[in-house]
Amino acid sequence: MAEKPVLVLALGNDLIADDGLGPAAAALLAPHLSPQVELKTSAAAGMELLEELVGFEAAIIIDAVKTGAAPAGTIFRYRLEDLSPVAAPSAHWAGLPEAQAVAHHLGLPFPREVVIFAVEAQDLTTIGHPLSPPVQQSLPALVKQVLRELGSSGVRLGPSAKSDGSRLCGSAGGEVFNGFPRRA
Amino acid sequence: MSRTVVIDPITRLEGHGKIAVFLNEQGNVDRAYFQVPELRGFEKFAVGRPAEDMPQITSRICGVCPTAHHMASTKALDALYQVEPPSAAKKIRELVYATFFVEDHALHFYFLGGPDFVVGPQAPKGERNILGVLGKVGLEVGKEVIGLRREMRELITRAAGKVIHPVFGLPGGIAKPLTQEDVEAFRKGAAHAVEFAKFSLKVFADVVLANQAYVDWITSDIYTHKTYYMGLVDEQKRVNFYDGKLRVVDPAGREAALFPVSEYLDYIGEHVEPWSYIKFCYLKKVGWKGFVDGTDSGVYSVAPLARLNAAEGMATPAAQEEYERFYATLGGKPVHFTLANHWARLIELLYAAERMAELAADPEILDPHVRTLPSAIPAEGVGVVEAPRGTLIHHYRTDERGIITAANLIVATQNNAARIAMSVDKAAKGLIKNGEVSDGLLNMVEMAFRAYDPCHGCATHALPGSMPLIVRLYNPQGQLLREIRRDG
Repeated sequence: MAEKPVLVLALGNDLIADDGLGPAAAALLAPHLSPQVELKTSAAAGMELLEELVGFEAAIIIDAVKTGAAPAGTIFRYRLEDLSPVAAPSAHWAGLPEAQAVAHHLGLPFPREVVIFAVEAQDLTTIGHPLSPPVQQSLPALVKQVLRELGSSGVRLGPSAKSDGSRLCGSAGGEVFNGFPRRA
Repeated sequence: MSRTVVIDPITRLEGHGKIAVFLNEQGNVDRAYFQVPELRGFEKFAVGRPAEDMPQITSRICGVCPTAHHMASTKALDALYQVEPPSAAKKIRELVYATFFVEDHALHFYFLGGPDFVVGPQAPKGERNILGVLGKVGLEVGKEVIGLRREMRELITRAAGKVIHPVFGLPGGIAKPLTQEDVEAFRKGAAHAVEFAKFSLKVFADVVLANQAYVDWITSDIYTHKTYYMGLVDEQKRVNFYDGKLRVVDPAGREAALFPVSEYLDYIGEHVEPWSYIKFCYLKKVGWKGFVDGTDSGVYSVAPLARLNAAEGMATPAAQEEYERFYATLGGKPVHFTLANHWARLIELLYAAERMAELAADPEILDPHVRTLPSAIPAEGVGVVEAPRGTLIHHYRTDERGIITAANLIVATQNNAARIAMSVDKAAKGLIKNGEVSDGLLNMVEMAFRAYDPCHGCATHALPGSMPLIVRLYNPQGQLLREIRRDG
């Protein structure tokens, strides 16, 4: 077993508005994590993430997301297997599902379980802007959710909530939705 | 056209990979637009910051090309402080940069370009991905790609501190010299990279060039645009990624310009369209004539194919052989087939690997003198490199304390934006007739821009999986008729 079997990977770029969610969440999480949990932040995308994830038994990923189908600040929780890999048209578009699929095909030790917390962003393209207010306000609830997921021992990831693919409902901020909203 | 452009944010097409197709009364394509999202606010963000922070800050703008931004920015600082780095420092910078190219080009060919050419353009959608590529070339090759990339990234970390955000470039040189042990590692890595590049070119020859159907795709009219081409060249007008002059050739391959990057504003203009935030670069001396090709239109292109076209050869022996074969096979210079970018990229992979080996074998690379301390008062500096996706320019103005007062970036995709727009328009016109959309539309469009590998604002691309490609069809009244999505 790896010395730190669990990875919390906070993705994003603190220079670019709501993309700074990951680093901001990481700063809040850091004092609360047990020694078995490795905390990493990364601004890399796509296949680069493969190298970050390989070797861990379980991982939680935190990122901002723009589904366009929920108010900014909405927190989503879902599992990697909820996403299907697609042919990425650019290095900038390759995503986690591709990384996982490649790892499995090549027999690389990819985490058995990957849980993703994503927060709906308002602005992901303005360099030098801070987090938007709704995303900023989602942080305490997000941190709480991540810590709950890690469990009190900080080693095992909790059982996954069922993702029933149901439509998004409810309001932004604090509430956690399982799975991404799918557009018709 | 009026010089005043009214920009209405509501009418702009925003989002990732969004294509808007406007049909005429007959249901044929009037005009198709491809929206490349772009990061905004850089100029404002840079103002008031110390110039020496820019190599760190700009490398963090993009999660895909940090080394390119770091290097262009560092070179802009050399110019800003009017300081010439020692020879060893320049060689080490170029060594790191060649290593970065190997890593990036290898990734692109196998993971991104591969689905079109290794698996094949006509293969079922479910196979046209990296897994299909691995199925065809074998899992061992996949492991080799991952292994090579890891080795290249470790080498960059060794020399540059960090891969994602390199911290070694300073005005006048670099932060630390290389040790004997570092150089040994680079030599080993370079040998590995050369072998890998040769293998990759063999894969391309066996799988793609030996298949007439694939060659027909590459040379088909739909992917052909007779534009100008631009790239950095050395003193012998050979391809160089790190330094040199910018050379432009016309659609017939004749030299149209050769200039130091400090003069880029005399040569490169930026055209604004009401439907896009991106500024479309064009050659000022030819002029903006719209989204058309030909000698009278200032549209030009950058990236691997453009670099090969804009140069007279490669500076390393094996890459030069491949360069000659490339033009002999595709009918002479310049090559106007967008999809030939994939082959050109592999030739550059071999050049980058050979250049790594050359630089790592150069005894001067161990010289501990790697920094010339700047003493001049800063005012203005422009730096340029060839990023994997094309020419990248950083331009800063500062006050006498070195605090930025104005900044401008021209990234690869801006240079290519007009030609990308033309490719999308051409594909749409060929595949939409009388309101009927051919099923191949998304594939064709995707193949065109995959060849360019356009850069986007890099925020949040890991989730949720890949960005969907969306095509929206509008009638002449601007009403949405239909939306086609690719979510996987």
